[in-house]
Amino acid sequence: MQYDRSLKPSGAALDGPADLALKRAWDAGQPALDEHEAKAALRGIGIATPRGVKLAAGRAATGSLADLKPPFVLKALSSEPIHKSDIGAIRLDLRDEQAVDEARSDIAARMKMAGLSLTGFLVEEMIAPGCEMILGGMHDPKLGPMVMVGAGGIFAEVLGDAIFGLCPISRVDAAEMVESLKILPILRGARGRTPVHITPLVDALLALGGENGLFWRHADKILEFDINPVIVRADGMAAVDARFVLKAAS
Amino acid sequence: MSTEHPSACGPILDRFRALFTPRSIAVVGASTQGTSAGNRFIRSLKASGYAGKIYAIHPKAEEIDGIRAFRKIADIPNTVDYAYLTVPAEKVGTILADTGGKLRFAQVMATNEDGSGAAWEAEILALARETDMRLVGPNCMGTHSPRGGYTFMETASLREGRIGIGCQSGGLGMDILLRGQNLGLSYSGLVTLGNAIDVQPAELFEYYLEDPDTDVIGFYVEDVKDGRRFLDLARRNRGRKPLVLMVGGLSKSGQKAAASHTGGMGGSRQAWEAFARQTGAILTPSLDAFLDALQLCLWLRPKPEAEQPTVTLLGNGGGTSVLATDALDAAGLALAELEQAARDAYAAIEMPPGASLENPMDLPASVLKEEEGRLIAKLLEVDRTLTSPYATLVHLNLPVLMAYRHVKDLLPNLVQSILGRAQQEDTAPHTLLVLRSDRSEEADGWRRRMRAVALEHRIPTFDEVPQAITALQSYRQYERYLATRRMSAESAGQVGAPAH
Repeated sequence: MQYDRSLKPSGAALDGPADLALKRAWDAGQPALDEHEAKAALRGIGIATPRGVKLAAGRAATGSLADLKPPFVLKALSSEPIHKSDIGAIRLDLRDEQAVDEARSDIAARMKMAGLSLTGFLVEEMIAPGCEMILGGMHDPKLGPMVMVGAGGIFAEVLGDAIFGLCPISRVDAAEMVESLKILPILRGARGRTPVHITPLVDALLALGGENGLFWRHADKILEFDINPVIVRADGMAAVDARFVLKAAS
Repeated sequence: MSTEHPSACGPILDRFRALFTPRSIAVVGASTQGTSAGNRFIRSLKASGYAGKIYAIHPKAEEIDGIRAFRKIADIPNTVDYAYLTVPAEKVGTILADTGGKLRFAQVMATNEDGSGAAWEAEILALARETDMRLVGPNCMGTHSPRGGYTFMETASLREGRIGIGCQSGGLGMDILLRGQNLGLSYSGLVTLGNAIDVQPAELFEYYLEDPDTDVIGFYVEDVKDGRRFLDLARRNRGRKPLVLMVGGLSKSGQKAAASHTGGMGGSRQAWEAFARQTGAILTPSLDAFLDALQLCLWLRPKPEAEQPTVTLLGNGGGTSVLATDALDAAGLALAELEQAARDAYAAIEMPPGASLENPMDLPASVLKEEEGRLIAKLLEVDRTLTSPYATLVHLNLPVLMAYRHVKDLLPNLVQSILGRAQQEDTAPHTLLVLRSDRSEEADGWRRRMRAVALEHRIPTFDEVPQAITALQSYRQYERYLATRRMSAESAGQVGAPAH
């Protein structure tokens, strides 16, 4: 693609933990990062994720979750891009290790039935509710890589409240994107809600699509990505789900 | 990646000199019957008094329309700066192969319609590269260059203007020229780029950015080609020269089923909206909106500092004012509130009953006719000094005013009184004039005459109020860009208000 020519900022470090997570998946020829890998990459660029552990496909949860606070969320991991809620590959509000194990076998059966590869499970602490946002990235065939912020959750497309920015975005661009959203008054505390901090969203947009952003630097490898939902609260922000689709997939 | 064309190097102004100010033009495709597009082009060159040399290329004729004809471009004794090719697609290759390296720019109008378009384009592009020639098109209509003394539209005025246009549709290029001209717009250049296989939108954009005769730039693009280069240029421009865009094909999703939410929510519309937001470009959805945005960019001085833009509405027609108020609200603009000092000043002006001295200010024709139409100057002075809104929108319903035929020179006086406060100082409100007609010949005639006077005073004119509000709203996006990107209003003002 023509824009790849001017893509790389010279001298940028390409060996951060996020770069390494991406490189491993790319070298292994994966069509996508599984959620565990994607979240490792996000933590590497300063985007918080819920506390959790990865379980190998056949391994029981019993004895592995002592460091986590219940209730738990259980999710299937796959190196194929999947819509977890569509195929029932996610279970919420599990009280203890035993409940996790029961859900585990159920999800494994569903994944098998859907013909999807199962690389393991992710068990995470449930995040308290907040404002559900989405962060994403994709390529325009002519204008190149762009990042997005919007109202998130499973109805993100229905709401259609999203603003895109062409990479690399500046801090002014990122702030303007967030401030252009229809959902902004809700973030700012409409109807007596506690206002949330917008800065972490702006920081995350820059960490993804800014001059040194992960997507901008690896736009030759990343086809598109969703971080949805991102729960934004007064006390911080966490990426609850994340999918990175690699170009090898296309 | 294609290798750069040798003629695509060097300073951009030099690169395009032969296109915009050709010293010689060859017309390929004029017939001995004198009826083809080529013949029309020759006639238009003669009519406009083109000062350079004109040659015709024809397989047999010695002379066409009084112009000496040659078999091929290579036979012409001198270098040819620009060739206008209206021959059918299958003949283009031979013409371009026989230039003897003497041709600088070839503009190819033809399209290949036999399904081998890509191969044909590759062939003619290769011929151009071999002889160090630049190719404009194919699938276009020509170039309009008042400085060069030539145009592709016989009816287009060659009045020199300060708007540079690139257009990937010949028909829209014609519309931009002719409808724009009736709106009072004139151009520093207009190039129809067609499929843009060699000269791309980005390269022409770069030319206009550098061109000292161009203050405002407009593009219609369907396939921007090297979009990243176009974006980089717009970023570096930082709003210095306003850019107005019309982009075709935004509704096509054009992509495979997206594997993500993001992919499902984004497309070229979102990408171009981001382009506009991040570069200060004004993205317009229609020809009229495009031309209106060009008017404002040309004639207004940006007011990036206006945080909460307020508007004064003033004119005859109560219902029109009410609808205008709604349109303002929908556009995110607010009516200016009148201070007591302004109310007192209005009250002190002597006038017959019937006027509502609020905002919107309803001024029936029976009031506007006072002082033979000069009363409005006093009202506008109070508005400017005591209300000082971001913009003042004056609307005149011409058929109603025309009924006051017994008042000497009412309409000329009215328009002169409004123009008295042209956009002279940066602090003056943006003044927009809406001239409403019933579409009768008489009212349309008045509108045309009043518009001609208004544009000499740098006042943008519109047919209807909502159109003016839409234009103002799109201009706000440009001003907002200047404000958020901290470009000084002064330096931007020099662009918005070129010295004539």
